Amino acid sequence: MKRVLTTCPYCGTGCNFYLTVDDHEKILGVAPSTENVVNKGQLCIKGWNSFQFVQHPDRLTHPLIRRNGTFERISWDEVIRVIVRKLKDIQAAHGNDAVAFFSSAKTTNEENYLMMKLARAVFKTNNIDHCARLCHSSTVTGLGGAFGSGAMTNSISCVEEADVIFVIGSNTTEQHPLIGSRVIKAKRNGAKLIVADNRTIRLARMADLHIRHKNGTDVYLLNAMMQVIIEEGLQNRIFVEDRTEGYDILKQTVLDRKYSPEQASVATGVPAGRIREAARMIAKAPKAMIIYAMGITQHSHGVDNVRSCAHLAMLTGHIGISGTGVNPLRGQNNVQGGCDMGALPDVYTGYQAVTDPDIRKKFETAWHVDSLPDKTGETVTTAINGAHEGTIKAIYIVGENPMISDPDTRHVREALKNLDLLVVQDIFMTPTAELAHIVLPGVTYAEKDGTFTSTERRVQRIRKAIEPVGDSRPDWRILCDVAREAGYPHMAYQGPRQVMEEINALTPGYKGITYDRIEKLGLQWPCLDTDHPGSPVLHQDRFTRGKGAFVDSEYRPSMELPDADYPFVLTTGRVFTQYHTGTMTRRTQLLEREEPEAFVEIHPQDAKGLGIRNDQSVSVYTRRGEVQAKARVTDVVPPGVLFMPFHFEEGSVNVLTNNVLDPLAKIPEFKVCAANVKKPG
Amino acid sequence: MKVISEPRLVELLKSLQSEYQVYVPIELSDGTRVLGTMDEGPVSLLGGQVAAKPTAFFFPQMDSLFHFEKGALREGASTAKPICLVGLSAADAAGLGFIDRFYNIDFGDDIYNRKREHSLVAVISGKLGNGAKFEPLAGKNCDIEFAYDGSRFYVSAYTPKGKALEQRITDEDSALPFEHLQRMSVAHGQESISILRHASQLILAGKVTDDFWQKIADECIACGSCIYYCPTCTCFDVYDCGAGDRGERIRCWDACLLGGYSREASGHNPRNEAERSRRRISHKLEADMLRFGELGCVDCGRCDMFCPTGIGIHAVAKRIVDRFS
Repeated sequence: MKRVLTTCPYCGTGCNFYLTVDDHEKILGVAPSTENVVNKGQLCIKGWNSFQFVQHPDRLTHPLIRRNGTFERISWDEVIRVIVRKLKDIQAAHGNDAVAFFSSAKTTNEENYLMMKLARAVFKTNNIDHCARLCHSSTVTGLGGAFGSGAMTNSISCVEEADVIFVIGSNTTEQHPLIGSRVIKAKRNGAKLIVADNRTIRLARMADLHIRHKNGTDVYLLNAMMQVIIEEGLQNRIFVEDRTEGYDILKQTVLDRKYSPEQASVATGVPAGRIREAARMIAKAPKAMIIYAMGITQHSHGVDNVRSCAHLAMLTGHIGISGTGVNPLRGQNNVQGGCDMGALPDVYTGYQAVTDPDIRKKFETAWHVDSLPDKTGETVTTAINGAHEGTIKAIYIVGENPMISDPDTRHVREALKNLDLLVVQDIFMTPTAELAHIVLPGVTYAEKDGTFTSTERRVQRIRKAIEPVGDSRPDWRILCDVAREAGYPHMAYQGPRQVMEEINALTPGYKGITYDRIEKLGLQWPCLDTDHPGSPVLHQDRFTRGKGAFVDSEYRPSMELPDADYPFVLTTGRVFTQYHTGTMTRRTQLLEREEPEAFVEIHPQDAKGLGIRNDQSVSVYTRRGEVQAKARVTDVVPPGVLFMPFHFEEGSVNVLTNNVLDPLAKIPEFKVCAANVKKPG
Repeated sequence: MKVISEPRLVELLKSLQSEYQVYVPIELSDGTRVLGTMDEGPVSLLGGQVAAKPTAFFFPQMDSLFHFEKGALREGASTAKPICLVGLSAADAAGLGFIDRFYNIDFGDDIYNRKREHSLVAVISGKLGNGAKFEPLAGKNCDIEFAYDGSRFYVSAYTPKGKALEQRITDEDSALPFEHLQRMSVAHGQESISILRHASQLILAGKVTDDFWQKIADECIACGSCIYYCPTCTCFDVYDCGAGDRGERIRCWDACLLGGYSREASGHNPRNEAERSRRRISHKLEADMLRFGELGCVDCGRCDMFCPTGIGIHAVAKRIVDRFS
């Protein structure tokens, strides 16, 4: 028997545990680390059950190529040759930017780094992106603009130090259970809790103030709260004066009559008194912290939502010290790392811009190439649109499943089928892989070494516990093989440790984060050299960009609002025992048993009006399509709102969602579209 | 009375490796202590009770019951050597005694018994954790006990297997320090046990109201940690994992806090969230009391130590006592 210390592959909290492996390489269970500061011997139900999928019989074990409509096995050598030849042929015919690479927030930092190096240095395109586009691209853009850094400003432990916790658009106890649990503890220990979410999530049950604003009216709500703060003189004048710029812009916006609590009450559905109360509680608190997630980001105005959160924190001076801050909770185990590693179309590692000639020069030298592409590439969402339109001819996807995760599935299917080459590298035959020309078997977190960066910017190790199943290969190795076959000799590594050394050399914030230093406990970036202790709290004396920036943030309504034909707002989300597109959790007994099928939450009043009973199968439909789901008649949702989780292929809510994007972040509007529901037949 | 120094005890345990698969308290790479093999990390006999429940060696999180292929069944290979578990606390040993009984009521669970019947179980108790922590003596529920007085272990054997091992220890000394440890043990933990008993009485008397359990349920994130850490929790789920005509039947730890545990095929769940929170506590404090005349909680403290939201059994028992007595 052996035990291998690693990091949980589910959410971005970054819990550490040991995988227990028997002498026959069978994983038997997990033992939480009692020493790790993040989880202290605790795990959520997904963490406790985070290994069964690893050795599931459905694992992809051989490279596959589609011939005459069916998949056939092909050798590794040959498949790598075919991929490279086809990619090069497509680029020769249609230009370098006819190819796009989707990296994965499930894979390691090292692999994300290699994927973006492969795209840029070998295939000369900045068309590299990953699923951060779908979750927190608005955070990267919004907080990057306001503060100079688009990451959680504080640490998870800060939750326990806050006097007021403002949770907006985060179902924390379900999606980041061990952060949500800290909110519960903080509340019991005397902190005040404000929850802004129109579903009565668990935290709302114990909140001092539950704000049930209409979906998509976050900017309206936050601007109204800021008007109250300014009108009542509750802003932190010293902070605003010393640490920020553009305050006049904010004032001009939020002091407009339309953002009065009374007007806002009409727009948001929240009583004016409650808006005032929330504003006062936050402004008067010695330490207030904002926690947000997809409820803020996944809108066609996601960047504005994020900016408004940043504005509120700056206006009240609740940033730069422990127990405060603007704290976007990153969804995937390594979505922070995917962004940090530059698996984004506009930046290299550490958010160094591809449009900056000096930065390009630095990477050209390090990577031994004459030139690197200088124009910002396509995103996950715009590349799918490009495939639909025929400008993108090939996509190489690692560990992403757009057929379930991206909006408007019909559009995604048409786009992927329109490609001359679709390569999918994954651990299971996903609905996306089923459309591929070539499928490559990658490995899980338990079969390779590397690092994940958690939501609190903590870079932590994962370690190989078992050999790769079947003929699967670590993703980093596959990417290096593709580079070598493409004639690029500078992607040959002994292993992930050596890749991290290259990342250290090229990335100021990661410079001091070496494998030797994170053997027992991860470090939080920025970590500027090998003596630097890491950074639990950002923006302490100055913002990363210098002064914090207030910018214009007018309310814009969601793109598709209810009407006579589609009278409901449909919003999407997740449940605590399933994870994203379900490839892993749906192959784990207890997790799948808990929530085995698609459901739609509908308010009792609405259900009654339509004659819909609890647990009855119903059709939910929008302008994009129709899916079946079990009705869950509950007052968790307010009247007029339908909620569906997006985990279930057989009742996939993304068949219904609206493929409209935030103009800056290109994030889709998963949280609001117009829908209707009916009994079948 | 037989006594043994720490280095000699380590030597003795090493010598058992030819007969047993020996697991002792060790320190893993980041300092987490578990019961593991001596080649996994430095031996750490004096750190007190380990976090993971030792009963997992006999009732593991995942257990293969049998493999099937084309209609034929093949049971999993039994371990080559019996298990020797060293370093249980008195509470752990009581937990093991509890589930030994559970798995043999009416009929014996052969999957469990196969691992358990030839095993050797040793408690380590006394003044552990640099003298700061006291682990009470078990006095039973194990084959042999090593009680540390701050300088060496006093050996008590309770079964023939334990006595055989005791005979391999040669040093003897006065039992006076051991008797002192016994006296310390009698007083130890009485307060926390009395809160559990008091809460148990209140539950049995029907004093605890539904709204109380709803409040606990509100604070429960259904992580399952209390159950996964509990040495007396025995619930499991059974499922088949396979492809085509071959696969494996597996049992895995279940958790009564999950809705799927009690949901009916119709979709109806007779236990709502509040009821599930009640069941977790009242099984230990009510049902086991009625069935066995004793609490189902052995007071190991794990659920209170590791519950992310602070509603371990003691915390809940205290709230029951505070509100309903």
